[in-house]
Amino acid sequence: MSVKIGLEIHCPLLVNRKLFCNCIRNNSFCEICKGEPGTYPLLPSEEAIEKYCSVLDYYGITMEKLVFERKHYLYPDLPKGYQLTTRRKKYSSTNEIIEFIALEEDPAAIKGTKILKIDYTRSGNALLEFVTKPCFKTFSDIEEFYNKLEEELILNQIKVKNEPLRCDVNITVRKEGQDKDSKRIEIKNLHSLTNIKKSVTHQIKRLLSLDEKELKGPDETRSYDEATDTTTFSRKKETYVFLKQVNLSATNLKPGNRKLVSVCLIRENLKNKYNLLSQEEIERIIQGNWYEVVEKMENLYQVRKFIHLLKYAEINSYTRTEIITASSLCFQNISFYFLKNLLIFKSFTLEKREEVKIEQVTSSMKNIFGRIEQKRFLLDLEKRYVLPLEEVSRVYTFYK
Amino acid sequence: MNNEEKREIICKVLEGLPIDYSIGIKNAYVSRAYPSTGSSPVLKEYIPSYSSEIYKKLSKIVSYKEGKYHYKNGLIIPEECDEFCRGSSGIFNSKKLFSPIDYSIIGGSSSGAAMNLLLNKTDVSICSDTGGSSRFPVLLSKGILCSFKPGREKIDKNGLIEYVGDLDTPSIMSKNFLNLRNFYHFLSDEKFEEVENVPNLVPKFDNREVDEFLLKHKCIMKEFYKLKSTLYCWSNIRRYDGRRFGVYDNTYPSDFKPCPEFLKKCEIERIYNLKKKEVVSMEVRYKIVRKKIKPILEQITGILRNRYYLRILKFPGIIFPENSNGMSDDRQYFLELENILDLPCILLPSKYPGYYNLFVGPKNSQGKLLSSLFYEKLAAKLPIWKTDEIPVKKILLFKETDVC
Repeated sequence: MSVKIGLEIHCPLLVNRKLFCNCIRNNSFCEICKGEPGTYPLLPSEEAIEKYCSVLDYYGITMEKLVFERKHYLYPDLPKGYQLTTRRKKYSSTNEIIEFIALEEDPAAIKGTKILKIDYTRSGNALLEFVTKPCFKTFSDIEEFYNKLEEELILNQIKVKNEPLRCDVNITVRKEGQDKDSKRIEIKNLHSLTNIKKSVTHQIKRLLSLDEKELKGPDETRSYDEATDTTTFSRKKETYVFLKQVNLSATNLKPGNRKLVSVCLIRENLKNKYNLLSQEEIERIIQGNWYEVVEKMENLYQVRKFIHLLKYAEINSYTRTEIITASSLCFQNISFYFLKNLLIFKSFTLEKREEVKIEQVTSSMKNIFGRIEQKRFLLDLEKRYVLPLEEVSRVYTFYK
Repeated sequence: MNNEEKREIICKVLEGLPIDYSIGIKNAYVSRAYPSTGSSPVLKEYIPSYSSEIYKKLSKIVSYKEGKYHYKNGLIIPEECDEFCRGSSGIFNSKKLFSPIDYSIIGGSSSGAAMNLLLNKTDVSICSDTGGSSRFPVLLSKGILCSFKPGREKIDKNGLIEYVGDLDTPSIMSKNFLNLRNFYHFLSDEKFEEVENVPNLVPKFDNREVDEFLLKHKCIMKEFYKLKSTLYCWSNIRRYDGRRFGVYDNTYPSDFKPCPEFLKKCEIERIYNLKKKEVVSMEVRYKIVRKKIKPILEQITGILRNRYYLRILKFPGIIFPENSNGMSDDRQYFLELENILDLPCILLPSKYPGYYNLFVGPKNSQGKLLSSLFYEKLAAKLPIWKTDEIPVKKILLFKETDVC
C-alpha cells in the first residue's frame, strides 16, 4: 500500500493594504472588495508584489511575468463569482517539495448557520498559496514541512502572526496489487496541524475500506468536522473556468529586494557565535518576539553583543516600528544605544509620528554620553540620512 | 457662432463652469443611491454604493441637478433596450427603437442616446461602445449625429457596468463636433492644446488592400470576437448574479441557489444557461484562437502603419475614411475589429460621408490630434447646430435609464 499526499497551504500575507484596492487590511471594505458592478481592480499593491518576489526567489521558483486570472466558482463568500489568482503558466521550480506559489485575493468570510452573514473586511486581502508536489507519505513529513514553513514565514515577516495557515489536503491511495491510484480526495479548510492529522488518518482508513469500484469513482471534495472527527462529502471535484483578467496588464517580476533567511541558519548562528542566549530565548527570537529578550537584559554590554548577534545571524527583516516599540519597552539607557546602532545599521528614515519616541529616547543621552559622543551620533545620523537635516539641527539645539 | 464664442464655451467646460447643456448618461454608468440596472432584470434591485468617475466629473459642471430623469411618455421603455450594452444591431430587443426621422431601426445598444439626441432631449450623450454600439446609430442617423469613440483607457471607465471589460470604451455622441471635442477633453483630462498649421485633412486613400487582407481572415476574427464576448458575458453575469444576494444587508439565505427565474425572456438567459462543459470547451477554443489571431493583428497594424502613415502631413497618426453608408455584415465586422485593434473612431455628420478611423501611435497624444481635427479644420468648416434650434435650456443632468 502506498499513500500520496499533496498540500495547498494558504498564508495570509503581512502587508498594510489589500491587494487590488487601497483599503487597509482586515479593517475596511470598499466597492472593489464587495465586487460591485462596474468596479475594476486597481494595480496590485507594490508591497505585496515585492514580498511575493522574495518568496519566489527563496523557494526556487522562477517566473518572468505575473498575470492574474479569473478563477470561476459560485459560492456566497465570493460576491464577484470569481477569484483573482496568479496564472500557473511559464514557470519552473527547482524546489524539491513546493511546485508553485500563487498570489491571490482572499474571499470574504461567512458567519452564521441559518442565515449566512458575509464579512467583507477579509475580502481582497493578499494571500499566498503554496502548492506542493504529492510527495508526502506520512504525517511526520507533513508536520516537519508545515512547521518549518510557518517558522520561516513568521521570521521573515511574510505571514501574519495571529492568523493561522489554512490548508487543503489532497490524498490518493494505491492498494497492493493495483496498477492505478485511487480517486483523489481533497479536504478543505484545515486550520491546524492536529486537524490535518485527524482528517488524514481518518481519510486513509476510509479509503482503504472501500471496494475497487468505489476507489475508481470521480474525485471528491470533502470537509472536516471537528465535533464528530469525521469528513463529510461536500461536492464532486469540479473543473474551474479560467479567464484572463482584462484591464490588468502583466507585471514583470524582478528579483526581490528582501532576502529571506532560513530558520536553521539563524538557529545555528545564534547558538554557535556567543553563548549569550538560552535555547528558550533563541526560539523566542525566531518566533518574532525578540524584544522580550532585549527587555530582560540588564547592561549595555549584553545589548551590544545582542546587536552584533543579530547582525551576524542575518536577521534583517524587522520593521522600523517593531524596533522602536522594542526600544521603548527597554529601559531608556539601553534603548538609546540599541536604537542608535540599529538605526544606523539599517539606515532607516524616520516618520513624523515617530519623532516623539525618538525624543524620549534621546533625552537620556545627556546623562550617559559626553558631548563628543553626542556630536558624533548626530553627525552619524546626518551622514546616513537617517534623520532629515532640519531634524538633526533641532535635536542638536535641544541638547545644547 | 464665431471662434471667440466657441472658445468661451470651451473654456467654460474646461474650467468646470456651468453651461447650458443637458447631458444624458447611459444607464451602464452607475451612480450612488440611484438604481443603475444596465437595462437588465439581473440588476433590477441594484442600488450602487459609489458613483462612476464620469458621473462625478459631469456633476461638477452642472449647477442644477434634477436627480435622474426617467422617460414615462411611452416613447422608450426600459425593457426594450439591450442588456449590458450588448447587441450592436439592436436585434436583441423585443421591441426595436425606431428613428423619428424615417422610422427605420436605430440599432445599437446606445440607440436610446441617439433617440434622445434626435428628439432634442439632450445636447450630448455619454455612451459606451463594445462592438459598435455608439457607431451604429450614428451611421443610420442620415448624417444628423456624430460620435467619437476614443482609444481604450483614455477616459476613466470606472463605474461602467462591463460587458467585455477589455473592449468596452466610453464614447461621446452629439450633433456637433464642438461638443465632442470639449467633452472629450473634459472627461479624459488631456490638456487643451491647439495645433497650428495642420495641412489638408482629407487625403485620398485606397483601402482595398486592407480590405482584401481583412476579408481573408474574416472568419477567425469573427470567431474571436464571438468567443470573447460570450465568455466574458458569462463571467460577468455570474458576477452580477452574486450581487443579487449580497448587496443590501450582506446576508445570504442558507439554501443559496442562483435562481434563473429573473432571467426569463432575456437574451442573456441563453448565455446564463450554458453548461459548464460548453463553457470549458469554449474557453479552450478561445485560447487557441487568441494565439492564432496575434500574428494577424500584428500584420494588420503593420499594413496600416506602412501604407497609411501620413508623413507628408506631419501627422502623429493615420486616418482612413470609410465611404459606404448604411449597415452591412462587413461593416459590423469592421466595427468589431476597430475595438480589437483599439482604433479611435470619429463619425462625421452630413457632407462628410462615412466615418474616419484614426490610427494613433502609442506615444502620441490623442488629444493633440483631436484638437487639431475638430477645432482647426472640421469644426470650423462644418455647419454647427445653431443655438436657437435647441429648444430646452434647462441645466440638467439626468440619467437615461432607458438607454443602454
